[in-house]
Amino acid sequence: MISLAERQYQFMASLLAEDADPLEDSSSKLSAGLAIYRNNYRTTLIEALLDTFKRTARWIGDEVFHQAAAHHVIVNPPGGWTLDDVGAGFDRTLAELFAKDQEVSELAWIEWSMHRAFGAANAEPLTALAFADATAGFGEKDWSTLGLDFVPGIRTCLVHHDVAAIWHACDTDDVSLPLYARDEPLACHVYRDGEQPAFITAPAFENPALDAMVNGAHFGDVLDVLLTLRPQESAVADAGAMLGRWLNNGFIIGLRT
Amino acid sequence: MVRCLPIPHEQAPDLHCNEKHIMTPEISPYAGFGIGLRTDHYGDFIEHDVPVDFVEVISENFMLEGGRPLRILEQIRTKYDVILHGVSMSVGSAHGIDEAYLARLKCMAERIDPLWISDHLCWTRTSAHNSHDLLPLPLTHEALDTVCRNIDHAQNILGRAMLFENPSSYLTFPEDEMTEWEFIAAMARRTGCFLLLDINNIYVSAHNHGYRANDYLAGIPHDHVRQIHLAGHTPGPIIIDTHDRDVADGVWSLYKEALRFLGPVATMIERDGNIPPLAELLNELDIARSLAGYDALQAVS
Ligand SMILES: [Fe+2]
Repeated sequence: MISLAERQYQFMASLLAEDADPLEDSSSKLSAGLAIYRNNYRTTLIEALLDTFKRTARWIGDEVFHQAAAHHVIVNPPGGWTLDDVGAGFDRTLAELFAKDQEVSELAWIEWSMHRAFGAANAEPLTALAFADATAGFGEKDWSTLGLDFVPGIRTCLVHHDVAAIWHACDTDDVSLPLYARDEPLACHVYRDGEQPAFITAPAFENPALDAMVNGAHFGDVLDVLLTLRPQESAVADAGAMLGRWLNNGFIIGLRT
Repeated sequence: MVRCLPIPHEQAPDLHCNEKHIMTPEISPYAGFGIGLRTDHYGDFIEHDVPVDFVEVISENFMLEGGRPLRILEQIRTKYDVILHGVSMSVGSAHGIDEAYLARLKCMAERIDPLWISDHLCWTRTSAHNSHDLLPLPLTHEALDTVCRNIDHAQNILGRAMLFENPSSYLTFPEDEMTEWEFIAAMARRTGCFLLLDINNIYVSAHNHGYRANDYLAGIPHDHVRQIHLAGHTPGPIIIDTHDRDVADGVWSLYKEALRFLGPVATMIERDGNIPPLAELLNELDIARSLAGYDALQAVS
């Protein structure tokens, strides 16, 4: 008799297969039942993707989205217990499928990051006043070795399109292009504002700066990078303005000195 | 590693995540009438006093680090008893239960203090992949041993007895060695778990596999049943368990029949698609109340 492990391995392989096994006897009750499970499996995953990537779906159209989603779940069958993870890597799948329309994967990256931020741990952002108090006595060395803790779920990337305009176009159903392509890239930060996931665009240099500081870099390291990109006075002023924006947007929850 | 987050407001139950603290909550023999909580109805439950004794939530929807869903659930918990109903435990998996999942569920239970925790008699995963569907088990002695081993483990980790729900299914296996009710009776006897009886699932499977629903009702261990699910299905040559419409007449009849065997059992309406206004589900719950002789129950109590 077939073992339980072997039966489950075969059953799962049949669900994951792109098409029904042509050798299966389609008239048998087992095959008819299996076809229902195969359909349920595919439908559940595609609906989960549609739920997470509503604007991406609107941007490329439901039918094309459906094909892309089906391709994604065939190439990346889920492994974890939470259906939430089904969207992991979907932006990369779309980057391959829409290599000439990079805005599609940019939009998907934003939606995926917002989805992750939605369930991230709670944390209270530091107010600008509290930050000013904490740094009032700082000398040059203190600024240089300053580290920051950020709200859980914050992520950043570089985008090459006016993603805010695309986002709003999706809201209004007006997805008839202008192209929204930009000559210069922008940084795009995703975070949670209270209970509401949000994204904001910023000058491109904020992308490596935020990425580095979220991963533990000191403010001095970030300043060094900025100095390679811009003249000294404007680099220092830019870094100060960037910190101010991060504080005002509620990105920062603590200081490490 | 799973982290238990602090309960953010004063009215939440006074619980802590403590690995060494073993909880042995009693499973209430009768918990009244309830509804499966869905996002469309959050506002109704928070802003009004909805006439239910409990709500049931899908555990996995709230197994998050933080954010709105958890805040809402804790708010609801201050007003209603809550049942944690899972879909991902996979007690039928030959490869065992995902330990990280169990640890996370345990933290969630300690945070919410549910009436009880339930899941399904099914499997969802192999060691490599997850179907995110409630897949049918071959009814063999090997599968029974596996299920009992996994349930024992889950109940030990969670420090409490659980409820398991009878599945609906669309196929049976040539290697089956017993009926589903025989399998369930042995499972309950060996593990001490309780049963969540989905009347619609019995109706669906009885039709799909050609057995008598009454044989099923007669064959399960009645003293282990602590909850009943009522839901709608999509008719056809193979009935599909869609939960997206009213409870069918045949399911109401079967519910009445089940109550003859079981006496008073906590009962709820389970709707997962085409979610109607809450009032419609409450009307269905009133039908269940009247079939259960709710007035008589009240008088006795
Ligand atoms: Fe159910």
